[in-house]
Amino acid sequence: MNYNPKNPMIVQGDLTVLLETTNDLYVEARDALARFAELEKSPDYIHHYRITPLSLWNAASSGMTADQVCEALLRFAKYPVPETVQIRVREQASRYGRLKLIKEGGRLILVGPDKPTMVQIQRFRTVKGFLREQIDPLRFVIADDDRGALKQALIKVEYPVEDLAGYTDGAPLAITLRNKTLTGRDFGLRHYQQDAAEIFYAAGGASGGSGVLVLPCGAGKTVIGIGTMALVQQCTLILTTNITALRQWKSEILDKTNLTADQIGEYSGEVKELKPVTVTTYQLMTFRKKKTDEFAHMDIFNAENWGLIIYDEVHMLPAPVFRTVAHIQARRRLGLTATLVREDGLEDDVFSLIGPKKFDVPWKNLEEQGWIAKAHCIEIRVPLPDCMRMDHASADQREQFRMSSENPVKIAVVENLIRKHPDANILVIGQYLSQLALLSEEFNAPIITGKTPNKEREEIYRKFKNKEYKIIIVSKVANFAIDLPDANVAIQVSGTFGSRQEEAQRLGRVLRPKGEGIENVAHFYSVTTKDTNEQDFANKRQRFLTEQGYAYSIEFQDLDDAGQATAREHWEKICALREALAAEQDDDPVVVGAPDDGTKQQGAPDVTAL
Amino acid sequence: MKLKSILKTQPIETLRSIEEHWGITPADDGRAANDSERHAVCMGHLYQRMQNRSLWEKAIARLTPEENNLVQYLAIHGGDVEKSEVAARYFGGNARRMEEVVASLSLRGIVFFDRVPEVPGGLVLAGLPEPFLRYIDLPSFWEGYLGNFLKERSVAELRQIATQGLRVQPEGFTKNYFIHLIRSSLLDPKFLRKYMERLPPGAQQVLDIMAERKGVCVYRDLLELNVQKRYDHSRGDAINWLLGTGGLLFTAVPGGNKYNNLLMVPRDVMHILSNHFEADDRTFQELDSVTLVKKEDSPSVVLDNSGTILRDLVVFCNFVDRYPVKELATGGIGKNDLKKVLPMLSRHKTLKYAEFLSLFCIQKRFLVATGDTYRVSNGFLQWIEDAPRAYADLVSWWLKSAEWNEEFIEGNTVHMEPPPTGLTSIVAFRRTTLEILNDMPRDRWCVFDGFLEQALPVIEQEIPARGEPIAYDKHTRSNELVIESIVAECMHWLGMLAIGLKSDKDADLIGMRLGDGKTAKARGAGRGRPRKQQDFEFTFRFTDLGRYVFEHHPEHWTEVFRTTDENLVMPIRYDESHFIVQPTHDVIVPPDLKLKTFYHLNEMASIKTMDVMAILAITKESVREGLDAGLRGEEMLEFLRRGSRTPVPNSMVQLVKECSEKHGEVNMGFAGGYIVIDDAPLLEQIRINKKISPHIKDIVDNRLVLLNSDVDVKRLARELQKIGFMPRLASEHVHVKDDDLFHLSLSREDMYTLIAAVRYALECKDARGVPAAEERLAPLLERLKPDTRTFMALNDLAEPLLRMWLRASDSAVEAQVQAVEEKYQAQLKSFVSASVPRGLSRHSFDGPNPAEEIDDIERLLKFAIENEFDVEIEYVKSNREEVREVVTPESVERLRLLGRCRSRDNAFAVYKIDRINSAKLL
Repeated sequence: MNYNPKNPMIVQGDLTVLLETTNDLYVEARDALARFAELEKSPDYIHHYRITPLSLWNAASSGMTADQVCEALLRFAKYPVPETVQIRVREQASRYGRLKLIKEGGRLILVGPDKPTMVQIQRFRTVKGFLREQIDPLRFVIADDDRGALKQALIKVEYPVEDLAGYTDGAPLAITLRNKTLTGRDFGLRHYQQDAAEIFYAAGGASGGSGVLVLPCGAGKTVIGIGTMALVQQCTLILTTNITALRQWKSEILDKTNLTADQIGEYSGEVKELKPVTVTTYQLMTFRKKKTDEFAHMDIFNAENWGLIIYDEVHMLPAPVFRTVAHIQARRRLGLTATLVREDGLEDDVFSLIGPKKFDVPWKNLEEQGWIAKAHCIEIRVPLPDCMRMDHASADQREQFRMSSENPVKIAVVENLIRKHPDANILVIGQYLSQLALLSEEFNAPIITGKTPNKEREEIYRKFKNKEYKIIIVSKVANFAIDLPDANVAIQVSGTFGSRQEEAQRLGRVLRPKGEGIENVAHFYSVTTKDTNEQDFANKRQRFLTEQGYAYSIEFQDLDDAGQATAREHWEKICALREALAAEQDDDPVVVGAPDDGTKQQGAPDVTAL
Repeated sequence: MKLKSILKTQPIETLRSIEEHWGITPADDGRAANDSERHAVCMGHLYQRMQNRSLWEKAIARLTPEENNLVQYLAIHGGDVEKSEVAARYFGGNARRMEEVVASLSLRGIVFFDRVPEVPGGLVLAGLPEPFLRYIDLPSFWEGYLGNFLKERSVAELRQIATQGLRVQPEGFTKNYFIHLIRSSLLDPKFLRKYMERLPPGAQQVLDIMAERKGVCVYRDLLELNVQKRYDHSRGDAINWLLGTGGLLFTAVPGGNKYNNLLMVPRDVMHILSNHFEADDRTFQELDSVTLVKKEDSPSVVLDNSGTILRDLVVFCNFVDRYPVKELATGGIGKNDLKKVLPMLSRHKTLKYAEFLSLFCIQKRFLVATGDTYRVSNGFLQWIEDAPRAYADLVSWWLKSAEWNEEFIEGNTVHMEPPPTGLTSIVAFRRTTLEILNDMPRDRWCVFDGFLEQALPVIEQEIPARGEPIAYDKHTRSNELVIESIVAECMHWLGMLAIGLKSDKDADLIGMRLGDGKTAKARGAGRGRPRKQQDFEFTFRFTDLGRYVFEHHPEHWTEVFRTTDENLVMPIRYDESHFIVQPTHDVIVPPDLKLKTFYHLNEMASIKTMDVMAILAITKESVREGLDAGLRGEEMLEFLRRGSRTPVPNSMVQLVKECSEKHGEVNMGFAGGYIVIDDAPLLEQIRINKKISPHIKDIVDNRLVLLNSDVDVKRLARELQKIGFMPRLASEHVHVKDDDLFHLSLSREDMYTLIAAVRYALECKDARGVPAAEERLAPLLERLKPDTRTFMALNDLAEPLLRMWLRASDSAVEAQVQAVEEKYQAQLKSFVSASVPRGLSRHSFDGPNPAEEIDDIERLLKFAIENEFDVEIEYVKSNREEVREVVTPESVERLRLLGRCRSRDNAFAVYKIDRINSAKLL
């Protein structure tokens, strides 16, 4: 077998590429690979990339040829590159650009390379419906509204179309970035933020203008969004996950650009403003009084002449918004996310409707460069107290999971951790209100749940930021898009079954780089009950982060007789709280119009699917 | 083109230039008086040396690819081709380029222009001198062109073809002229059409048959009528006419006698005939029917097993060892079990591949049946330590195996019920196919259909005809499908050939066709109706491993990996000791990891991907399986720590530790079916589980769960695994209790066999005083009594068994004793007769010698017995025949002499004394 031990790359027959990170040629190989392969996992030692048709088409759209791809693979390969890989690369790359979407006389035209291809295209049932009028054997008229759906359908039948029809320009809006923020700090885009924005915009060309940027939590995706707005210089609609995030966007834009408050609108349940820059939420988009009603606010997409639409936390894009996005393909679209994993497997639809992944930075890279905090992930396993064991054994699996999650021994662990980090700003994050309520009571800490009014939430967040509160207890409402820069310890006491995304997002709450004079380190504790199905779910939850290179160290906490007694006492309290809350029909109700992120919601968990 | 005559025509400068190119020391022409003499000396010098093969090879090695291909092109057509044809077909009509190249080659003494003066207007040939043609080994797909056949004929034979066959009037008399005349006539479509029309009817019929067979056929098959095994010998005249006079049929490969000769219509003539009399203007590249892969045929999927065959074997054996893989009644492993291993093997592998591996392992005793399941023998782990030898063993097993038969659609003929019959001699078939493969280009893709064209006629010639089956079925497939199976399955599986397919789906079709438009169902050929055959084409190419192996003749393949030739880089290398354990609990295994290490890794990790790098995952289930197989947690961690290049992650350490602790928390056994569990909540969890509770008969002492008698304990164990337990399952027949007592579960038959065995040992002790069992057996027998009544019944059943063994043992001992006794006596006798001086001689006998009276004879015989003399007797047999025999007498009993007859190889014989006419002491 011929092999070059100095090379860092192993090309597998299934088009996966393994890259050794400790190799001298790692950086060079990574840069070459990033042009035509998607980073799938980046654990220590070996990163996994995948060459997909989409990644090859993206490479082709940026001018890279199949020969260049093969040359890069051969140059860095440690073992012989399987011949199938080279054949597939050439075959897939040759497909790109054979079909083109162009604008001609105000009409959208699909142009093909030859008659057999066009005949073939017409035979696909999923495509046929979009071909309106045949101008000649090689050209079809397409309805403007079908642009996204056609592209999506063509990608599924592996005929990627090169969209040269360009974008509809929105109303112009002069946006400049400040050198100093309103709060007086120096401001400028970091190098990777600048790169991400420029790659997305592609100097205004047809090859740019739509796509997804994947960056770790705390890497400054909002700032990249603002940077992109400054490049596009047009009216912008921003969709985000919840009202808190909406307000954060508003304040960030005000803080970092020349735009004034009267140019930034909030389109929420409370206020309905349409301004040159409007920020709204997915919940509002998907709001309707009855299931049979139309979505009342979906018209916002066409309400103004938007030049750019930003989808924050794009992995949470709800299904109705998917459908709408398909109709607005003439607008520039930017998706931002840290965790493009959906338990429903709709990642591909995100790429085909919003646009391909344009930029991706491994979490650990930014950690090394100090742009996000260095995180220590620790799983603490606690036993189930004797008082619960028999009930736990005889419960059904869902109830077992809940009992394990609410294990009162965790309260003692939280107490220890608080003691261990006396100066830290601590977030205690959990799933169950009864558990969170007891924690709040035990540690005399404020609590934020879905029922907490927005004003109260903002007040708590503000006080936490100002260090008036050192500990806050939060439910899953704080999973996403909440910017708490000074939080440096997160204690997860329970979670939504095996959601990888939730785990990553919760870690993300403490990854924001710490201010000057503060150690840029975060601690993420996940407290689980050992020998229960919660531990199995925890393993699944951790998978995304371990694939990003975060290694969990595992610690155990024993339980003595005194601990058993305390646990019994706490468990009784939790049970009482559960009953009381059940009476109020409150089980941390999911926010109205909950984002369809593909994770199972509390009502119907599939506890057997780990 | 004659070398000498062409050299004569070359100027002295050209000759000097040839000397230089060929690396020939310049001729010593110092004594030459003038230029003419100098030329003659130089030419003579060159003429001798240019016929040296090694110099030729050096000269040809210095040519460019274009020049080299031109040499090949000319050789294909017999060496000499008309200049205009070369320009058109080789240089794409670029005559100027042709002039340049040939002129350049002339200066180097390889290719020359030669004028044929007999042709009006002057015919110019571009050609290779005749001696060079002997050195050019054309692959089989470039043989069989008209020019090549004609150059083997004498001038007289060529004249016969031209005048009597083609009926053209020759104007010249040289060989070159005749070859040109016949070629230009037969390769002219108009002429050929007219010629075909006036062929004798028998010859036309023969050519029709040849056309059906794509231009290649064995002589005897041309005689064959449609009815099986009946020959039409009158056709022989037509065949002979075509061979001798017609110029349309030639002997491609002589076969010992004329009926076995492989006959062929020249490929270029055949091309014109099969293309409706279109001229054959194929270029050099287009003539390559084997390696010319058209764009539409170029592979989209390449299957290359050279890096995975041994790793697959390891994974396969490990799978068999880890899971209860049952032995079929016919031996072998069932399809359902084989299917389970497929996802763990490398990509695009079929059930047949797993069957191939299983047959090899079972035949080599790497998998041995223990009870009703298979286990891996210790020999396997030693065997895989020497990977090159292991590979060589695998290949040589395949070469010699008749049990694996590519003619039978399922391959494995051993474990089929009923076994397939009437299969061809596959070993010879394989060797012939390999011989033809050996002739294929090693560095290019070859089209299988092109290869088939080369191989089929040879196979038909070499392999004894099986008789044309009326319809092919899964037992008797056509030669075409057998070759496909050898090339695309076995040779691919063994990693020697890479297979190029147009789509992934085609991988399932290879080797699964029945012929006659049918293909076997993927699952169990023959079950249900066969599906319609899907046509597919594939290409193949030698892998590095294949090239290495084919450097040697198949006869010597077993020695291939013992070579000491340092120039050959061994393509099989498994010397890496380390793998990488990732924080994600994936284990990334390099392709060259030591196979034994890979095997051990498989014991505790499950395969996720088998590719260039194998990726395994260490999961709760895989660790549990390792623990079930007898590994200990610490052993696993130690193995991982030693083997991993990277630190074993803390989470993995915890996982293994936790599984080790949990393993055995719940214990299950088969003796009536039970679960032992010391933890009350866990017991409760089991008790209330919907899938387990129906099987519970009783709970004793709040720790022992007794199960219903009809419960499938293994299945229940799987249910427990699903809900998070890690039950430790005792052996089905033997389990160990905490107090170190073994509990056996034996069938009635096993029990009385065991009793019989113990009693047999006791009998041996009592009857023969053998002290082997000491005093242990009687107490053991006592303990084997379940109760007296049952024991009596079992004892009765054991009795016949015991008697049978004792009888067998007695007769075996008796036979052994007798043999030893005889041997001893014979040795003693010869020793005594040879070395000890006798006290008496034959003269001491006081009676007549020879004796003829019955009393005298009896006395003489007794004397002979006492004093150990041989006697010679004249004896009358019962059929009145008189014989003379030398006998070593042993005793006289009731007027009969018992002794050994020397002339009958010391056989024991009895003679009636009253029939002995005379006896003489010797």
